[in-house]
Amino acid sequence: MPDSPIRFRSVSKWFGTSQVLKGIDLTFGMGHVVVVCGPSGSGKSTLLRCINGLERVQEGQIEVLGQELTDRTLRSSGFRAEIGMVFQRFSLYPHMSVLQNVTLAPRLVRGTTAAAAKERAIRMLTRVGLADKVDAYPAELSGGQQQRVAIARALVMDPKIMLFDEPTSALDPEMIHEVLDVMRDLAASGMTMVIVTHEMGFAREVARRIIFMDEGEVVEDSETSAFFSAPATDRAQRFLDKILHH
Amino acid sequence: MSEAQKLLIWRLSMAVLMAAGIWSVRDAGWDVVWRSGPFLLRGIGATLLLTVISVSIGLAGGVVLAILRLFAPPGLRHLAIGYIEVLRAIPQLMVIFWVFYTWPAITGSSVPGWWAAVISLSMIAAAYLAEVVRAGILSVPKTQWESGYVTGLSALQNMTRIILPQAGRNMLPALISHFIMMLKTTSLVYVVGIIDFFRAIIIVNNRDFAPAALYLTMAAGYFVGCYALSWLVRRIEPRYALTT
Ligand SMILES: Nc1ncnc2c1ncn2[C@@H]1O[C@H](COP(=O)(O)OP(=O)(O)OP(=O)(O)O)[C@@H](O)[C@H]1O
Ligand SMILES: [Mg+2]
Repeated sequence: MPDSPIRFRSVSKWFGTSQVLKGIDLTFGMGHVVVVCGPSGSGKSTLLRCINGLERVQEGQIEVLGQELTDRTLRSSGFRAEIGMVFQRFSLYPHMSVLQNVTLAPRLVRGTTAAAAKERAIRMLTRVGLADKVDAYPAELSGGQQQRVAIARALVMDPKIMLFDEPTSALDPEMIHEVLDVMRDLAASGMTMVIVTHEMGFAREVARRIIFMDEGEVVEDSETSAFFSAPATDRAQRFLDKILHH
Repeated sequence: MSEAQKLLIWRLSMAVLMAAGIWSVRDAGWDVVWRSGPFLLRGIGATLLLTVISVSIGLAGGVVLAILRLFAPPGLRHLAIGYIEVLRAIPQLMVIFWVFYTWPAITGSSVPGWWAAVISLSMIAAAYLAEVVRAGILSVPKTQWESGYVTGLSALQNMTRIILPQAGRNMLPALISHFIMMLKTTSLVYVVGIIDFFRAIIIVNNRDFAPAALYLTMAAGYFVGCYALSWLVRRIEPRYALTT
């Protein structure tokens, strides 16, 4: 296993004529939790989505789990399944029960038998505290429960990396903590995680490193404690002032 | 006047009107309809059969066309767009003529009437249903597709397990209305010599002349057909709520 599971080398990306990533150079450490923050439109989601090939870049290279992202590597379903992702919302399959949501990929991609997939799914659902919801449909769950199912659905593939794109920002405040608790456990288990979030308290507590982006650039990339005590740039300081005194 | 009273008066007047209507056609020649019953029923059978077959084949073709139009590389995509747009633009009767008369003229081998009818109606249904399916696919949030992709599902698995079931659900009302449209479009196949319900009524009327009774029977027959078909489609509607 390579020591840095994710590596960006001078990565640039455009949507049409507007450049949304500007020469990004980054490495992420194995088992590390990194939080990406920054103002809206700064390119956080795009950065995250480049890691699993949901967005392709025009310049530079991205290496994930020792493989450079190309059409060929991304065509491998096994490779894609190594990188779990949790979206902001609308990601559970509404026409399937919770159990079917979680067992679909193991059965189709890994060829796991129905019984084994079910057993494993229940283990994952237990881990996120939802063992009693196996037969429920997504529409019958609260937003927080849906996000925890989404985490279980990603974990069941036994990913080496987990990506989170604002997993709590569509949730009512009282449900945020139940999702963050699950993520906290996951971090403690040694999972490599890249998290886009505005939950600065959580970031401070869980993240090893904070990446602050603005206008497609990595403006700051610091140890968590350094970032919160004294950000190196004015832009990061202004962002922190705004978000912490909200 | 209270709502209940208004409703009562409304219902009474409708009942009176209907009774008067039935009374006025009491001597319209119902015996003709009765005597030709088996013949007319066969006509209804042909109409329903043609509708169900052409919508089934058309739906399968429509799914393929919609996927090509949405995701295929340029050449194939433009072929699909061309097919869909042309088939919807030209008169439906012309498609039937093409299959029945022009095709044999070019290839030298004739096409039996039933085959011509099934092929042309399916071609028409495929063009219209392609747009229904396309709208259905586009109604599924992008995150659904992405969730399948990142967990390793292939494009085909994603389409059949995640996208199409949701698209199918979303497009049900449009599917029903196209089903009904196709039921009426089948009346065109008399040009290739098939005796569908429409043609059967005309034949009986030419022989025994009872237009009031026969055309009322025709209206009732199509109405019941439409009703039965939309009931059938609604029955297969999966029962889950779509809001997540
Ligand atoms: N599919 C797309 N097509 C065109 N432009 C896009 C697309 N996705 C994102 N953008 C643009 O790229 C820029 C970066 O977007 P991105 O979603 O990465 O920002 P973000 O930091 O995640 O913002 P937010 O906090 O609002 O989620 C924005 O200007 C956005 O409008
Ligand atoms: Mg975003």
